Amino acid sequence: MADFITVCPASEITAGQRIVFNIKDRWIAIFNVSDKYYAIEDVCTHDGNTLTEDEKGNEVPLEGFTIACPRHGAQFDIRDGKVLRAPALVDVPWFAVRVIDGNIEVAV
Amino acid sequence: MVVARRSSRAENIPHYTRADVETLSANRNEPQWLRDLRLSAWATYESLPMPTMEEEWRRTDYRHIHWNEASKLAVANGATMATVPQKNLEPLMGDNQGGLLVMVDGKIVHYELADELKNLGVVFADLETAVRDYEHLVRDNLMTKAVKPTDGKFAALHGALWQYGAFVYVPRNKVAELPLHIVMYNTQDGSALGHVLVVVEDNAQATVQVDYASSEGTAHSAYIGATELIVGDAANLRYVALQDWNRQTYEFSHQRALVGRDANVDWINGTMGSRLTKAFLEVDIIGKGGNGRMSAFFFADKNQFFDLDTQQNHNAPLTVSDLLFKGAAKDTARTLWQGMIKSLPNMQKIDGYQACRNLVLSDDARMDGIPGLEIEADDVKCSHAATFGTLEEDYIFYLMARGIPRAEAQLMVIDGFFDELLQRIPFERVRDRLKAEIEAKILS
Repeated sequence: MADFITVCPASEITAGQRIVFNIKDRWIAIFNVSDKYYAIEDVCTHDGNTLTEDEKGNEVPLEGFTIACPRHGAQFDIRDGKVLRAPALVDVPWFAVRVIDGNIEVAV
Repeated sequence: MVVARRSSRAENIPHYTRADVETLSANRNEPQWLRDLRLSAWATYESLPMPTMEEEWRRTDYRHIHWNEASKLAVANGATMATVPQKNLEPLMGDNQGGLLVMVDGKIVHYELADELKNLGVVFADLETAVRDYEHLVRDNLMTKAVKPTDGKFAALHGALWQYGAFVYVPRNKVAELPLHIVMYNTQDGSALGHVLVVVEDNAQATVQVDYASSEGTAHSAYIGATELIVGDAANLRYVALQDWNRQTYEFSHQRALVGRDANVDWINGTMGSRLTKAFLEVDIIGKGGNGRMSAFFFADKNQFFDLDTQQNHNAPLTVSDLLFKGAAKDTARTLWQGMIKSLPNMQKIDGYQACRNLVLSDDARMDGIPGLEIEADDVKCSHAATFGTLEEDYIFYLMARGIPRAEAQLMVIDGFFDELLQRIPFERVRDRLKAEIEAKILS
């Protein structure tokens, strides 16, 4: 059963930014796109590595709502976790996000 | 609920210092060569960055470890043999042990060695004692041939700060028929750095089992270990290592067997515990006609992550290696096996095989298998395989059609999956114990 967990003040993730949190032992990336928040697990379902950082630790930019794995190019929609391009074949886990009293809460 | 923000991989580092190394060595009044070895390893440790995106590490995100807790060097606090579960202490065969060395938090709480083995000249001791009493044997072999501090960040850390360990030595032409049993049990949170050094001289033979386990923890712990198996020409070693750390423990270990000419190593590994295990398991066959067999079973549940990195290095011609790993994962657990068979140029007529069979028991579990071959000779036989599957409904139906309830049928199928592997363990009691542990995980 997923519980909403308070993560941080909404003001900490400004528009265009993302922060990765460890929640219940899962790495979850929370994105702010035009002041709306989206959360997906930070793992490429193709090769199991992180989606949000490349091999040098640089942040992987979003293209609209799409994030592309920096290694093999698999793409996912951060709004619902849907896989958009191979080599990944499986959706990435997606989490509901809400803002309550100025704090971001994620259902994990 | 603890929510931790991810730092960069380079930022989350252990809190050990050079002073820890100096204090450890001074407190034990260690000989100069060992102190130098430790400090040299420390220099290597400091010179290497924390592993991040290298091929063998990039899928292993260990940034959630709390190094402020896990870097605290654990110290024995008077815990006795009574804290060790009885299942870990039972004789491996018959009623008597060939040898039993039990360490709790790195301190010896029990030691015995059969006269039969003493008379053969077998050395079975904790590493600190061995450094004192068998200095030449230890000095020649400790982190000089098999695992070296330069193997990686955690190998270097281990070389600098190993706290306790076991030393097994079987002289040339001697057959140690009775098995030797080592139990390393931890009750304290924090760091444990244990070492196993097994040296089987030419034409000698031994069977060794090591049990690693710990009681429930209240804070993060790190086990930074090393295992060195040095098997001389025409020697024979059967080695069983079973790990069942508590769920707060992060293991980082380097384990390597060196196999001499016409020698044979039969190495069985079991991984059941820990929050995260990153183990490098390597067989280097360095003598013509050498044979290395690696077997492993693993079962991850809840939030466990096991990352097993294997290498079968054929560094001599006419050598054989055979690897079989079998694992299962349920809940949200993850496992990863990366295997490589390597052959140097001119190492002809080698036969290398590796297979990893994975049983995925829930939708949210993830298992990866990445076999690999790197062959630089042209007259070899090398192959590999990785398979993934869920419980086969046909098998369940077959059993249910014979009146067996569904839950029991599932258990039987999973037992059957692991049985091939467990049969490689030469001790019936240990097989029974592991079967019970696997079943407990299935039912939990």
